[in-house]
Amino acid sequence: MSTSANSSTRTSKPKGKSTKRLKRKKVEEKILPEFSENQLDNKSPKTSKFSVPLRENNGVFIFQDHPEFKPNLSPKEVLQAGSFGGTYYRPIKSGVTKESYGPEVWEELPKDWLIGLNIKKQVASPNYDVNVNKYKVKCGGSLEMWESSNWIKAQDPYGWFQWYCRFFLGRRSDDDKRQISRWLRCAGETGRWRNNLIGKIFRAHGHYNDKSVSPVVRQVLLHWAYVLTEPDYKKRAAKLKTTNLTPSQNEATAVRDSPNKILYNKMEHLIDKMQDDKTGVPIKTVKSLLTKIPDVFSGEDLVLWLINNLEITDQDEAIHLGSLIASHGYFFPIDDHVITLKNDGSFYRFQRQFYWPSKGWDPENTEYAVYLCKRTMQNKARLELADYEAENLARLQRSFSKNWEVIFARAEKEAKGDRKRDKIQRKVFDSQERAFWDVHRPVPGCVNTCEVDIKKAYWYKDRTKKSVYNSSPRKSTEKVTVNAPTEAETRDAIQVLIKSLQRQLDRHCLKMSKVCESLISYTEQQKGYDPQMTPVEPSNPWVTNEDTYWTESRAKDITPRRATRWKFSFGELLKDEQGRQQFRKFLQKEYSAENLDFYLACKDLKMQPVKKAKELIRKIYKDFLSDDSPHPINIDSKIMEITDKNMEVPDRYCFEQAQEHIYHLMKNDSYARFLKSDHYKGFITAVKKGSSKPYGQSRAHPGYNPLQNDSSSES
Amino acid sequence: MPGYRLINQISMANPKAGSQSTSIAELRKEADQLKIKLNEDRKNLDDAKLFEMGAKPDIVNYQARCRRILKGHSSKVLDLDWSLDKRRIVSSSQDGKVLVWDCFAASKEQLISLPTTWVNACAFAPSGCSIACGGLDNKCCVFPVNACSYSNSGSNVAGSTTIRPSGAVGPSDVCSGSIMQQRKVVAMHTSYISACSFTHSDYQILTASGDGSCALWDVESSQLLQSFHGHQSDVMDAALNPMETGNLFISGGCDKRACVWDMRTAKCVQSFQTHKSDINSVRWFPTGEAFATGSDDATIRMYDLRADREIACYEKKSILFGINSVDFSVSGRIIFGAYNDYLVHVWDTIKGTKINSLLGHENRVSCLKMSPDGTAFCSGSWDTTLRVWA
Repeated sequence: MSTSANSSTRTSKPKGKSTKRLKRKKVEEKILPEFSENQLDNKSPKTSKFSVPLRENNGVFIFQDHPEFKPNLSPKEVLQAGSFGGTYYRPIKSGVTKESYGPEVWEELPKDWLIGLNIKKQVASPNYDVNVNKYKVKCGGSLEMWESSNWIKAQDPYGWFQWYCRFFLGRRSDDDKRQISRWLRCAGETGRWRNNLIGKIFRAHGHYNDKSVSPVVRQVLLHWAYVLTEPDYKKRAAKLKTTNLTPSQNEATAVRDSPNKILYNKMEHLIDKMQDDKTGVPIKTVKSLLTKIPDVFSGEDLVLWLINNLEITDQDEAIHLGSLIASHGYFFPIDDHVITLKNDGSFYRFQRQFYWPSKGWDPENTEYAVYLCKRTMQNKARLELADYEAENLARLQRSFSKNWEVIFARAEKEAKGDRKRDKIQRKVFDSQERAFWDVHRPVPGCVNTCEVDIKKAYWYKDRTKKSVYNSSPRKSTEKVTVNAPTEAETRDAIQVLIKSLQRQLDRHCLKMSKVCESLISYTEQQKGYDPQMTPVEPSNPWVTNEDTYWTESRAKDITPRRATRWKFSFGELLKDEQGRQQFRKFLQKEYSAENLDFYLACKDLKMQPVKKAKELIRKIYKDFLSDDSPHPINIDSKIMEITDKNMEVPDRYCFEQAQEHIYHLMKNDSYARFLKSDHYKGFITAVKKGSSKPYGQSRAHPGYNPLQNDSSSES
Repeated sequence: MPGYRLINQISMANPKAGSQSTSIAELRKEADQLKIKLNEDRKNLDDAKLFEMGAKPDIVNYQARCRRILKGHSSKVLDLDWSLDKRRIVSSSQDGKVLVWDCFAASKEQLISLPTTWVNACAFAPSGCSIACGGLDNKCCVFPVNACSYSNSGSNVAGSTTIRPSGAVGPSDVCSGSIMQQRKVVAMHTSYISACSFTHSDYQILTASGDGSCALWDVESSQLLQSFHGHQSDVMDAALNPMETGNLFISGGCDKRACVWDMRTAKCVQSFQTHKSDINSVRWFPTGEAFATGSDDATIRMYDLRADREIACYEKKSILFGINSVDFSVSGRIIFGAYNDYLVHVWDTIKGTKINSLLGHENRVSCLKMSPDGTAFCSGSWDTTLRVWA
């Protein structure tokens, strides 16, 4: 979205030859100075040999011989609107034709195109004036740039717009095809500027005509004789909607801070406090025999400050936090490239705000090259390059070999600027600059704190490639303005809110005390089973490298500990395969084992591949629900009705109601009886006595729990 | 539990009718009134604080040391998952490599190179025979795991009477040939995959994606079973309910919201929005009735479904950095958080105090998971290593 690059072109004046070939006839158009989409130029009287191209209702010009070329502004409209900073037809010396051009280039235009325009200021001004432009922004590259990139052909030395004027007036040439394809790529239906603008408007939730959204691109498009119309916008935006995020998503995200920003804010808040005159870290200037070290503080002082101000109890924690803040570039050791905080008398200095990471730095290698290059020019011991920096410099010099002169020149200029500074000031400045690069190009082995999680990077709107040194930074001026959502959207949003509020109101909630009590009692109950809190028997494999714990517990051995757990809750019982087996045996005695079987079958159904689902559903129905099933489960007629209805369109959830019913039946009824039963009590005593296989380990039931393969460790 | 689910369905089945005609101002007023009413309602229920009630039980003295360091990735480790055999781990990294480790022996077992970078998510299948992974390629793929013979024998022991137990894409499914040929693309999103997990079964995968949705997929047919829309921004994590009857799962995303979803209806049944920044991680309390979230706002919060509100916030003045991952110890008493400040901070769930900070990693800690039996937890970091702590 660089505001820079663009299109439309200025060139030198037409070469005599081609101009002459042009038959200049004035077209008496009656076009209003400000274009509006419905002007029908074709209605204007045709007094000339060259008819004005036909224009559709939507403003699009039709060129019979080039139907794909569909600009919707005439050259006159472009000029009248305010374009090219007023410089298009300035006198130039063309690098392509090697000739100079003067006023004849604009004189060839029909007089009425220039009506009301100040030639000196709005057509042939030597100086680019942003205020001439319709959108009051600058765009476009220099003529030299266009010439050097071979876009300019000799017949139209000023470039595309000159070609367009002449094409519009009827000239046809070999170059038409190329120029039209250029237009298509920029402002055509799939043109990059056009879609860039639409995308921006779409994301900013703007109106197609909202000039605050990307004025630069609008200006660029104007130079390409195109203005965004509502139908064009809607057509493309509809596509964006289907393929991309919905606008509401964008709205939510456009305004949000990047996660690093949140962190930076917090750290900057801290730094502010640290720099407080009274309550901050004491800053001093240290004088020794020959030198003076200005504006520093000691590591000890900072650690102490952190401990006192952030409720930190542990010194190491304070040092760690301090190091992290430093590594993000807020302060730095004055004589070390490795940015860490030491709890001793070593000196540190605060970084200038200009270099703070929150400014969105993402400096390029050329900048780094300039910096290193500059360092070599200041032959002072304290500025000598470290080994890794020298290596970096060599590498950069290789990769920028072509442009090295430019880099060298820039470095020289910078160095000269630096020399003008006061000596002490320069010392501080040099160290801060060095620290900046230590953050962005850290010493090998150190963490680059500027790295971003790719998942979040997409939203890094503030992360622009800024130049540290260049006088003309490539700044992104575009601000995504978030427009107020339309009425329909607000309405929808509020309705959704109301719905969710009502839902919340209708919901039955437990009191906090109840909830907390249940959480606390659960943790208390499970404490003994948590290896992180209670050492395990015989030993934690990770600690002792003995994995007997796993080989023992995996098996069918049931310890009293394990069996007691079944008492905690029904879920706990079902989770344990052995528990399930014992429970099933108990149910068999009560002639209701089919309940458990049905429940587990339903649970399993939801975890099977869809391909198998149909077959399984049929089987479950046949086994447990149908009239002639061998083990019918005990559900009431109402649930049976629902289930039968579900069976019309069977899916994985068609037994849901029945399953839930059975679950609660077992939980509230059978489970309670199970715990009181002689079966369970006998089992527990048997386990306690140490016979690990009390009731025989016949495979009563396979258990459906997929978590079953505690198996694992064979070794 | 099922009680409120039912109520939800009823209330959702009655959308406000005829509201088209009402003006925005009226709607706003209605919303405000509801808010006030809700606040009053909730105030009556707000009769205790977790940390106050939690003051009674004994203090936890938690000490842990790094027991294993797994070195093998050459760039940032982004995610990890335990195998149910308690000793193997799968991990994925920024350079597109997925590694299967025998964690106990601290050795590598298998390497899979994906044709993408930033593999944000990976998961071990319950059978231990396959893994799933996904990242910037917007796909979630399933690969067979080479050494899966022994875990397979485990499920065979169980035998089968009525229906085959779930688990085990058996060795027969593992055909020979290059690993990429054995790849199975299961899920496709329109943006990056941020999390994936098997749903207690080898046959289904739950994914969360940067396109703002979560989705449930059938592994065998790569069919989309259910998709879950409702987040207004990238979804960063999703987790399945551990409860026996659980049809719920939770998700958290960049819209600062944590949502509770009903798998059957694909509807969001509860949502919580008290974080001040992106939620990066969601994890259930072991009972499946509450869950914890970790966020870029440097806090871990706990929400309870029954209380329908935030019940605890774990924060400290000196902790500035965001959280990438959280997990509970198996009793739920301890919360582990993987922080961007290179540390794993350990919290007492019911007292709200920080009980330890584990230093070892040298860059952001990106993922953290408790082993299935709770004997240890593993953390992965941008410093390219994984560490097992116990």
